[in-house]
Amino acid sequence: MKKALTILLLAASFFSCKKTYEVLQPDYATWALFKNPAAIRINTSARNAMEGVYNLKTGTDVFGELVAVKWSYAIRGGDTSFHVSGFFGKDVAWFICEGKRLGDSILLNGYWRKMVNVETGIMRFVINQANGANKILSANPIIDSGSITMDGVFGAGQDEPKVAISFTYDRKLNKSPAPFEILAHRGGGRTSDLLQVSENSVNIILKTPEFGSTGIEIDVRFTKDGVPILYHDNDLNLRVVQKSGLVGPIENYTYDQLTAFVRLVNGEKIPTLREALNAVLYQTGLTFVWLDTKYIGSLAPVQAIQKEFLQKAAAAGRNLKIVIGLPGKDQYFSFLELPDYLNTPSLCELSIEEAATTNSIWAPRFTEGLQADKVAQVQAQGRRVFSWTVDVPDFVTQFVQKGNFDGVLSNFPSSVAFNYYTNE
Amino acid sequence: MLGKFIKIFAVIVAGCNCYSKAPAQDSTFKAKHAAILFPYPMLTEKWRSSIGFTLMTTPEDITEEVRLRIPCGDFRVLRRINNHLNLDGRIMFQLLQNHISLGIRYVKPLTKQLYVAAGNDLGYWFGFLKIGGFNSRASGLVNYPHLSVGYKTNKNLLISFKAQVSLNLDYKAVNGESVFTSKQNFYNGETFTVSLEQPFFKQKHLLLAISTINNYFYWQTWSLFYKTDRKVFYPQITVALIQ
Repeated sequence: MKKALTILLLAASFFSCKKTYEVLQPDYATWALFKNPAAIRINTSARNAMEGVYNLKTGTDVFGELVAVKWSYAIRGGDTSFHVSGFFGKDVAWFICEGKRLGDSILLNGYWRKMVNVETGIMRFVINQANGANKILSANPIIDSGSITMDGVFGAGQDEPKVAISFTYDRKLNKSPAPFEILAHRGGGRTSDLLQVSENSVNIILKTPEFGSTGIEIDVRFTKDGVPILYHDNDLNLRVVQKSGLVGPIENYTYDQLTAFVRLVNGEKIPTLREALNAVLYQTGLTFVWLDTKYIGSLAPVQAIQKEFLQKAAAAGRNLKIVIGLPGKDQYFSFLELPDYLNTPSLCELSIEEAATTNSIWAPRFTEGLQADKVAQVQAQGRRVFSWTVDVPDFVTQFVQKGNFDGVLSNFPSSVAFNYYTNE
Repeated sequence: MLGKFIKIFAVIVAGCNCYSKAPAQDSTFKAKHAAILFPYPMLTEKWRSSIGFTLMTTPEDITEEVRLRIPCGDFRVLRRINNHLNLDGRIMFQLLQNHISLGIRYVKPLTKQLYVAAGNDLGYWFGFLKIGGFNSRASGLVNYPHLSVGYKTNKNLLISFKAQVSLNLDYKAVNGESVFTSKQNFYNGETFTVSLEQPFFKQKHLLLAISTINNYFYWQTWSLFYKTDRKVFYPQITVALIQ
C-alpha cells in the first residue's frame, strides 16, 4: 500500500504543473519619431474630431471589422494625461495610445491587448496630412465618412511592430438620448484579468477610463477601527494581496496595520473609500460610482461619505452620481433604517418590488436574461436598470444592443464600449 | 497538440498489433482482479461496473471566494464486445449538472503484465440553475480520444496511466431568453490520470485515481465563469468501488 501511495503521489506531483499566465505591458517608448522634441500635445478640438467608429481595412483577421475610437484623461501627479483608446469587436481587444502632433501629422503610440487571452504588443499609427490630419487639426474640424485614415503597425509582445493595420473613419460614436453607463467591475477589472493595476485600487480607477468606462463599481468594507476601505474578499489572501504574514478577515485589522503591512498584488496600498472617491472626482471624468457594500452593519457612515462627495461634486460642477449598492437582504434592511433613505441614491440587486421600496436603480444579475417587461416596468416608474456582471462577448452584445438597460457592469468595459458606441 | 496525439495513438495501436504476435491472454484475470480503468481484455465476463465519486477543486484565481469542492457521483460500466473491444459508459452526476459519455475501447495485452488500450468517448453535459438570481442552463458536446497503459504487479495491484484529450464539439448557454452558442476552443485540453486498482473486501475492488485536467473549459464550472482562451488547471481525485 505504501508503494502504491508513493506511486500515486509521485505521479500527481509530476503532472500537476499549473501554467501561470502573465501579461507584461509592452514598453512602447522606443519610437524615435514619437520622442522628437518637436512633437507636441494634440489639442481638445483635434481629440474630439478623431473620435468615431472606424472600418478596418487591414488587420481584420486579428481585430475584427470595426473599432470605436475614444479619448479619455486622468490626472496623475498634477499632470493631465490624455489617451486615445480603440475598442475592437474581436476577442475583447483594445488599444491604448498616447497622441502627439508632429508638423502636419498626428502620431499615436501605445499598445494593444486581447482580454480573452494574454496576447499583447506594441501598436503605432500615423495620420498624415493627406489621410485627414489637416481636417483634424483645422480650427473647426468637419469630419465625415472616409475623411480620416489611420495607418499603423502592430507587433507581438516587445517585438518591433511590423504587421500592418489601418482603419478609416465611418461615423460618429453612437450616443443614446438617455445616459448609458459603461461600468467597470471593481474599479476597472479583476486581478485575474491580468491588468498591470490591482482591482479596487486608485491606480485602476485612474486607468479605467482608458477601457471606455464611464463609471465604476467598487467594494466597500470597514477596518477594525472603522475606516471604510476598498476590498472585495472576506479574507486577506494571495489572490488580492501580496504575502504579508497577515491572514484572516480584513475587519480584524486597523487601517494603520493594513497600510503598514499589506500591499495589493501590484504593489498598491489598499485605498480608503475617500481616496477612491477623491480620485474619481478630481482625477478622472468618471460620472458614476456604485458602492458595493460588502459588509453587514449600519450604512450610515457610507451615506455620510456619499453625501459629502455629492456636495463636493456639485461644488466642482461635476455631474457625478454615487449610489449605495444593496446586494442582499442585510444591506436592504440596513438601508431602510437610514434617515431620508428615499432620497439617498441607491442601487438594489434584489426584486423590482424591493428596488421600488428603496427608490433604487434596479440591478438584476445578467443570468436572469434581458427581462424586457420588467425593465420597462421599472423605467416607467422613472428609475433606471443596470445589468451585472456581463462578460461573455456575445452576451455583452445582446445586453447592450438588444436589451433596454441603462447601464451594464462588466469586467470588460471595453467590450461594452465597443457594442454601445458602434450600435446603429 | 491534437495532431501529435493522433500520431501517437496510431503508432501505439500499430505497435501493439506488431509486437504482440500472440495475445498474452490471462484467462484468470477476472478471478484475481476487477478493474475499470486498467486496460484489460474482458475475456470471460460481460459486464463490469464501478460506483464512486470524483472531487475537483475550482481555480481560486478565477472563481475567487467560490471554492467549490462538491463531490460528483461517478458510475461507470464496461460491456464486453469481444476479446479486444469493450464499450465504456460513464455517468457523472451532481443533480444540477451532469455528464454522460459512451465510448469504445480497444485493449491489447503486450505481456502478461503490460497492457495498452486506445479509445474514444463521446460526452454530453448539461446543467441548470434557477435560484438566487439565476435563470440559466447550459449544455455541451465533447469528444474524448484517449490512450492507456496498464501495469499489473505481482501483488494484485493494477497501475494505469491514461492520457486523454477533449474536443469541444458544441457549447450552449442560456440566460433567460439570451442564448450563446459556441464551437470555440475545439481543442479543449488534456487530462492525465494515474490510477491504482486493487482488491478491497469480499468481491469488491477499490479504485483510487488522481487526474490533472488542463482545459480551456470544464463542464463542472459552467455556472461559475465563462469560457476563456486561457487554460485552467483542475486537480481531481476519484474514489470508486468496482464489482
